[in-house]
Amino acid sequence: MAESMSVEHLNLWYGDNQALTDVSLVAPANEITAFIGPSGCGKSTLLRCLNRMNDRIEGCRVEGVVRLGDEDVSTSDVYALRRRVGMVFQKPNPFPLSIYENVVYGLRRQGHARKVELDEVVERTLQSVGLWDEVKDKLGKSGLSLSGGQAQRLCIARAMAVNPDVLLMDEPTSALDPISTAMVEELATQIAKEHTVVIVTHNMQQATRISQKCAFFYLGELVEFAPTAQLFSAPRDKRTEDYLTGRFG
Amino acid sequence: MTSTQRARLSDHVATGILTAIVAAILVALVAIILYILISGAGKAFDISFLTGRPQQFKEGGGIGPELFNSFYLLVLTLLISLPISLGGAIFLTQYAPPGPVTSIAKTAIETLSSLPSIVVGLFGMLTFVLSMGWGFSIISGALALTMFNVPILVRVIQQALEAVPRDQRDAALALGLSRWEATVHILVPRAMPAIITGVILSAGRVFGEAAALIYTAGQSAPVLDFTNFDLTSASCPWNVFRPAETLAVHIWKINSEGVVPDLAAVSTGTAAVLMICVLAFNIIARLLGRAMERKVTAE
Repeated sequence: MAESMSVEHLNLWYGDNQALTDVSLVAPANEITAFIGPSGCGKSTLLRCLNRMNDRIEGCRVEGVVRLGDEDVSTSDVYALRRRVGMVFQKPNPFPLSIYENVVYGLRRQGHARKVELDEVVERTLQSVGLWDEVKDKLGKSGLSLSGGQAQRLCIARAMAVNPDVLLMDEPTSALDPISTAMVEELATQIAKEHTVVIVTHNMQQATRISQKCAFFYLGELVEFAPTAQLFSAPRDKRTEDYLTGRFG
Repeated sequence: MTSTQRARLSDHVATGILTAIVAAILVALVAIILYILISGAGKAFDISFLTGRPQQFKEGGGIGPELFNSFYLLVLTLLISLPISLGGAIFLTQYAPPGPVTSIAKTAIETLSSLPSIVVGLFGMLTFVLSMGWGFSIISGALALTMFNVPILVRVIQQALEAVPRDQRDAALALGLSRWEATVHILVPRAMPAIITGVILSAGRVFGEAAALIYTAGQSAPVLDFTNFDLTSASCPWNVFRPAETLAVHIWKINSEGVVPDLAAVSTGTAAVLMICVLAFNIIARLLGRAMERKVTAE
């Protein structure tokens, strides 16, 4: 079941350096929310707050609340949280295991071991990411043998196999060719029908193509958060307009 | 001369000098290896030399017990040092918070890895041979070699773990795995080819070590009876409390106090056997590392 993800008055520091300043927004369920902005604006940092991947970073301090549904994520068990909030990274990073084991990895760690069940999940998940026909005869091969686009879809399959509420995507297509990019975008749209998707992207066209809500960040500040069509056609803030028209960034 | 001509000339000169240096090193290495192999070849491929027992006064002695002792000590040393090193390297790369304690630990390991082996040997004698009362024995030797091997292994494994792309660990954590699960299931398997290579290369150093063993494993090689399974008997090969001279110690001993008439032949033969074993370790390390890398990355 999809849950919305929300952030209330979030401040984040790396040492003395404030990376996020008073950010509040809601990523609604069954929609794609895009974070855009120039490099170093804090969009990836915010994304990594949503599944608490910043916890272990030296000198990182967070104030404010992140909620999954109504639940404050800072009080929930971090391992349980990450099972509900999956993540796909900028560079495809399959495990050094077979394609099959990559997909079922999360399930196995949660104690699902029945072969019939796992087989079914592998086929269904790989079908859904459009990889089944390409790899069904070589499920025993290493996940690292796949091409960039295939590997990224395998990583999405790995994240989706545990059926999370939310999928976080951190510039998932920046290392991919245009055809693989189109496939991943199509996939994100499919996933958003039953899940909540939050995507960080450098590519403004991508944001307009797939997202319903869009947040523009600049220097750690959430400058503008609006329905994507509105943000791109009629930005309310001067800085948003300057960025969208290519005056900086 | 224009500046581009000067640039080209200096490049040529540098290339020439560097090539000459490498060539000189190669020639010296090949000469040493060939010299040892050729002068020892007669003995090294003689099965009665490889399996026979050493002689005190007569000619025709073999190195059977020494050969077995060398491998047995190596295996025991690896059995002890590998788990410790793996644990230490995992702790240092994954768990240790950056701070004074961690950097002291890292410095200590680096210092230990450059400790002269004779110092390790004398420390081993005081600690294991005398204080613990184990005498000149395989266990004393294996523990001394462990002290010598652990710092090297920790560094090798540490480098192998640090070479695993960070985002692979992040992927595991993002799936809700604990740091321990991510380490055991993802990091260590990914680093395994480099770890195996490092372990075998360190095995070559352990195998050829003499100074650390002279005062710990001892300089005598009791005759071994492979049908004897009485673990308290000195002739039982597996008894870890018996003295055990190794190949490297044997070379040192017969050259410093040997009186056998065929001393030179025994010495060069033993050296050739030692050399062939270490060469074999290096070649196996490469082949195995490459094969595993291929298996992990694509197949």
